[in-house]
Amino acid sequence: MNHRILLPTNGSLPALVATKEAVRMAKEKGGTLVILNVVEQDPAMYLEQVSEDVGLRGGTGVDGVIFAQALASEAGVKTEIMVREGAVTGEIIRAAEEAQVSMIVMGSSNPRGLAGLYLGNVAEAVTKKAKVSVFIIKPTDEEIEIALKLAKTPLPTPEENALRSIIHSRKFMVGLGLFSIYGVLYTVFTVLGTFGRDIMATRVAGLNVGLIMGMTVILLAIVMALSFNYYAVRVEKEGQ
Amino acid sequence: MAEFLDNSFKPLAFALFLLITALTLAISVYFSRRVRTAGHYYVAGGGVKWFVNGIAFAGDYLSAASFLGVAGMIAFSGFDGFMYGIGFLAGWIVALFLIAEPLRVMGKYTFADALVHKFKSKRVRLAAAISTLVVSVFYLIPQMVGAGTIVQPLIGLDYAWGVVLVGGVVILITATAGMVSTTWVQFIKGLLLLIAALGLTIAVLILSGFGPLEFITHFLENGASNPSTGLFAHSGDVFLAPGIKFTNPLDYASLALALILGTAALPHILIRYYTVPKPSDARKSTVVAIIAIGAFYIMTLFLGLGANYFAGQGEFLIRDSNLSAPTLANFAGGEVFFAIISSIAFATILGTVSGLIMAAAGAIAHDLYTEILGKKTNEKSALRVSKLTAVGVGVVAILLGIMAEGMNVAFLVGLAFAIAASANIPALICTLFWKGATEKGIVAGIFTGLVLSIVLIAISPTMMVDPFFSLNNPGIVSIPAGFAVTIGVSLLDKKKQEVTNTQA
Repeated sequence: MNHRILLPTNGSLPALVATKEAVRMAKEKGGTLVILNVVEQDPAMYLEQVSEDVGLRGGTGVDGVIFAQALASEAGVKTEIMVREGAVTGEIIRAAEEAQVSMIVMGSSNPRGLAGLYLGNVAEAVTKKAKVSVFIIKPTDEEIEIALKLAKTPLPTPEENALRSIIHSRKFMVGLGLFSIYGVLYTVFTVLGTFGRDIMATRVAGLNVGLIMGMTVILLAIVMALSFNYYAVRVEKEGQ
Repeated sequence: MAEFLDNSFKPLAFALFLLITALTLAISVYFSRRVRTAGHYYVAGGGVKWFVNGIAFAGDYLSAASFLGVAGMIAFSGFDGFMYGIGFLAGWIVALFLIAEPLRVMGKYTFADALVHKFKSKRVRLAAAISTLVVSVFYLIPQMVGAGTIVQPLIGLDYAWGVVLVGGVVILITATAGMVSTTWVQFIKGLLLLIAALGLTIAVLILSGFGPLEFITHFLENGASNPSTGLFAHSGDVFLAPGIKFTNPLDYASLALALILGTAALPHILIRYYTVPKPSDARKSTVVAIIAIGAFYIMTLFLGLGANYFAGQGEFLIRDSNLSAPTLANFAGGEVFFAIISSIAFATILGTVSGLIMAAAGAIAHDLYTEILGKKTNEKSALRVSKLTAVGVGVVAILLGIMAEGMNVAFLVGLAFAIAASANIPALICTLFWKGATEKGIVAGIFTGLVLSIVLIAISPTMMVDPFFSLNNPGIVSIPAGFAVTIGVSLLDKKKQEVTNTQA
């Protein structure tokens, strides 16, 4: 059965730490991460949340969903995104049922002060009402520090990830190998043309070394291109 | 009895020339209309097969330089001209194995796009735009020289007026209608160029009565002529070994470096990598292009040697090295063949010029005007700026083209390649393959390569009687300098960032 984890996140510090943990768990079990963002309608709730953040470390200014997506894509974890409006606890429970998750992972702040209790209450309420297991993260200061640093460093874009995977692919390595062979011959051809002109002028079989090397460099380019294509076509067939 | 190709108005040749040129333009217009009404760019439909695209690649790449320049350089300087062909092809190997796939995967098809995407900085965009502009202008010069040279024997115009006339027509077409160089036009052009080269090669071998290898052996045994006098000039061993053009041996190495790195740095070449839907088709296209271009350069060896051989036999004389292939065509097939060869060369110039002018206009209109100066533009004013740019760039290229009279176009292209490779390749390679590259490093590297290569050309033997710099091609100095500055400044920049971070 497909393992699905629901991650409610609002970009708060405990939620960022929970995100890290949820991605790790999803990756471990080869599961899917369902990212949920509940947009709070009650202005009072919003104020509480802000003051909670301020109380802890100041607002993170991080979009929780984008952060979770980026972390997941880096880890190669599949994601789904849900956005809901309404009361937090109820929406989390409803989303968990709709998305048919097997587990909920969420953060809860260390109960410091009144404001901190609020999110703690949400986690508690979810635990009471949920039909699946709820994994509540209570982050330490150290974990918060790490998560914050992670969130503040710009994550590579999908294009850059694709670039990296191309550069590290075997196909690219084989191309690099073929290119090296060609490069060596081209270098020899260049060095001889620069410093070994007598050698280039040496006659061989009705031609001279320079002409034979020059034609070889041209033909080698064609042979390299053909063999690279042959290899790449085979790799692509295997891929299918 | 031996004569130069005369500069007179040739009605038959001119009529044929006009016909073929008009036909090329008509095909271009037809396809661009059809594309528009179909509602999607020809890229998207996937109708273009990799073979067609591959020949189109070759049609794009084999500019006037290859056909007029390389053949002419071989006719006058033997092996050193052959070196140009080898280097031009080598650039494709770099593109195929190192640059094209990573660029395509990033969804970018020019070096400027890739840079801007990674660094998201105005200064990088400015540097890339300036570099694109400068490289385009320098690559335009040989095209203008080629155009002026062909028109001379065709309608008997002065060289300077030829450049003005042809350059003007080309700019007019580009700036008003905008010649959309669709894949099919480039395919037809590429195919015609290959057929013409093959036809000329066969004609050389039949008329001389030698087999291909026998022909080269004949040169080694009997030596070569000076095609502008028809008199014996070099022994075979001298002519078919490096040294006639590259009297300074390091010039040979410098050119070799500039040519192999220059292709991937040109603003208009890698775009065609996107005209087929799948990466695998793009790769197959590249392979077809490499085969076609490789075969073409082997044939140019016979064109060049053929021109030299028949000049030595007293059949004709060649005034300007760029006219070697057209003169040979005139000898082998009369005015008709001459007209066909000239119009193919002209169509090639037209295509290359429009591609370059569009790249330059894009750099100015989009990057400089809209993004950097922050002008709020509507489509209309952006279009006006890009058309003004097209005209401006074209006029500059015409003036420089007039100044470059008599210079071999392949040599001029070699300079453009050196500038492109010096300014763009360090930035491109470091952006793609090195995580440590910083914005400052990239900008410093681009400007170093650009300025250094141009200054070195300005004080080289090409431009001065008493040169301060002894090499004709600056590549061997300016390309490593570009890399050194990119890497050095990046490392310093990073160190500074780390210091500030720990302080904070």
